[in-house]
Amino acid sequence: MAVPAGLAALFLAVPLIAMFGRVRWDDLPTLLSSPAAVDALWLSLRTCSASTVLCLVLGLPLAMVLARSRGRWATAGRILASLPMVLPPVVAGLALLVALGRRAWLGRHLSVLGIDLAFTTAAVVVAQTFVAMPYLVVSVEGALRSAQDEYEVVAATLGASPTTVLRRVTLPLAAPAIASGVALAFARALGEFGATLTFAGSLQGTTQTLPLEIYLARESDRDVAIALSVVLVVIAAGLIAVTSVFSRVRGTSS
Amino acid sequence: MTQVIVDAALVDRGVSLDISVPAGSVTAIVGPNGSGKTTLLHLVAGLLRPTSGSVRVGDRTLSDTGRVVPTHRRRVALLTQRSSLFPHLTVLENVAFAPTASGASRAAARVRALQELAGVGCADLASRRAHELSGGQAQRIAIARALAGDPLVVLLDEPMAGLDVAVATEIRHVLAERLRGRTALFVTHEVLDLWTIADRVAVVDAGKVVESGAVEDLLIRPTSTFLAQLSGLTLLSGVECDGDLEIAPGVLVQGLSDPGQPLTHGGRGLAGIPPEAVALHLQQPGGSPRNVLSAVITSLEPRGAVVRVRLDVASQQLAADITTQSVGGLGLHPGQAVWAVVKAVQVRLYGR
Repeated sequence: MAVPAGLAALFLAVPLIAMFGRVRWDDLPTLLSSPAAVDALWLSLRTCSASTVLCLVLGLPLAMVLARSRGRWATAGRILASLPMVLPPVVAGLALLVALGRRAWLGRHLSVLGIDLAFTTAAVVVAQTFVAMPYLVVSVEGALRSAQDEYEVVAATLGASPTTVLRRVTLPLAAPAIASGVALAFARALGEFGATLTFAGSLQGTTQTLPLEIYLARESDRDVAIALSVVLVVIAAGLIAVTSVFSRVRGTSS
Repeated sequence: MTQVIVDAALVDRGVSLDISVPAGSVTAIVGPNGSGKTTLLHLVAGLLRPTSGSVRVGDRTLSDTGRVVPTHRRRVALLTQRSSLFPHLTVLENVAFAPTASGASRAAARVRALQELAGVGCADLASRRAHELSGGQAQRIAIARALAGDPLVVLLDEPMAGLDVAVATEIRHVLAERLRGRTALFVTHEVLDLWTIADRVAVVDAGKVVESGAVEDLLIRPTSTFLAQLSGLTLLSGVECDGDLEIAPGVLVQGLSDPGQPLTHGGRGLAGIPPEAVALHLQQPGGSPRNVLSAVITSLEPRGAVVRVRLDVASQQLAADITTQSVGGLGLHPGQAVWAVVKAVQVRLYGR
C-alpha cells in the first residue's frame, strides 16, 4: 500500500514543484505588475467576490429548502443543484449562451430591458456563479440535514419560533459548513475557464480573468503565465486550508 | 395550575389515547414497547397532530381537528434519552435559551439559567461545552434547560435510559426534586421511577390507556398483568369464598385481606403473590397455615442466581423464584407436576 500511495503523492506534487522551480522569483513583482496581469488579477478578484456573494445569497436558501424536502421533487432538485459540478464547463458556457446570449430565448427579453449579458463582466459573474453554486449547496445541505431533527425540535420545545430556530440554532450549527462551502465556491469561481471563455469571451479588463490570461500568456510570455499560476496555487492552497480548519471545528463541536 | 387532558386518536399509528393528568401531578406512563407511550408525548408536544379528538392544557385547546398550536407556543418541555445540548453554545447559553427565546433580557435569562444550573448541582459547569460533559452532567443540564422556560407541562421520554445505574440514580434524585409540584408525563420502564418520581401511573397498551390511578393503589394492588410484573407480583384471580379466594372450583388461596380494598362477599378478587415467596415441592407437604397448590411447570428462565419457574395453576399463571441449586436438586423440568407452596401471610388478597 505504501508504494502506490507514495507514487500518488509524488504524482500530485511533482507538477507543482516543477512549476515553483521555474518561477523567476526576483522578477516576480515586475511580472505581476504588467497591465494585462494587473487587469486579470483585479478582474478575477472582483468577479469571484461577486459570484461568491451570489452563490451565498441564492445557494443558502436553496440548500435550506432542499434539506427540508423529501420525495421525488426533492431528489430532482438535488440532482439539478449538483449537475454543474460534473458538467464540462464548456457545456455550461454553451448552455448559458443559448439561454442568455444576445439573440437567445431569454437574452432577447433582457435586451429589450437594456440588459446585455453576453461578453460583459456580468457574464463572467454569471458563468462563475453557475459552476460554483453547487459546491456551496451540496456542502451546506448535508450539514443542515444532519442538524435538523434533533436540535430544531428541542429548540421548538424550548419556545423558539421558526425564525429564532433558524437564527440561533440552524445557521450557527451550519456555520462551519457554510464557511467551507463559501471557500470552495470561491476557489471554483477563481479557476473557472471553459464556461467563462464560451459565454463571456476574453477581453482584457472586461472578461479576461486570471485563468484566461494565463492560458493566453503561456505562448507569448511563459514567465508571466507561471507567475500568475503561482498566485492561483497560493490562493487555492489558502482556501483549502480554510475549509480544513472549519471541518475540524465541526468535528469537535458535534 | 395546569392539567393535561388528552382524548385523541392517530389512525395511522393505531392509537386512541384518553388520559387526564391532574395539575401538579407527575404521571408515569408505562406499557410494553411500541404501545404508544412516545406518541402520547408527541401529541402533547405538538410534534404529531391527532386525526381526531383534542389535546388540552389548562383551559387552552392545543390540538383539535381544526387547528394545532405550534410546538413553540405550547410551553411544553420535552426531555429524552439524548440530552441534545446545542453543541455551539456553552452550558449557560443552553440553559438561558428558553428564557431568551421567550423575550427575557440577556441579564434576566442569565440569572434564571444560573438558578436552574444550581438547582441541578451544575453551577460550576456554566462555561463548558456539550462535548466536555459526561452523560450524567449533560442530562442534568438538559433538565435545567427544560425547566428554565417555565414549562406548563414537562414531558419525559425515558430520560435515564442511556445512563449507567449509578448515574441514573443521581438523575432520578434530581428529577424527583425538580419535578415536585409540576405537571409532567413521564414515560419509563423502571418501577423505581414510579415510587420515587411519580404520584400517578397510567398503563398504555396497544394504543390505549388501559389503567390509571395513584401509584400506591396500582402498584400495591395491581389488576393488570403488566403492572403486576412491574411491581414484582404474579396474580391469581378468583371469587371470594369465606374470606379466601377461590381461583377454581374447590381450589382456595388463603391470604391477608388488603384493608385498602378488601374482598367483598362473593365478589371477584385477586391474590398478589411475590415469586420469591413461592416454594416448590415434589411431594405434597402437610401443615398450615400454608397454601399448597397443584401446579405444572411450563418453563424455566435463569435470572442470575435464581431461576424463574413459570407454573400453570388451575389454568392460571403463577411464578416461583427458586435457587439454581434447588432446581438442580429437585430435577425440575417443563411439563413436570409439582406442589407450589406459599405462606398465607405472603399473599395479599384484594377486590377488583
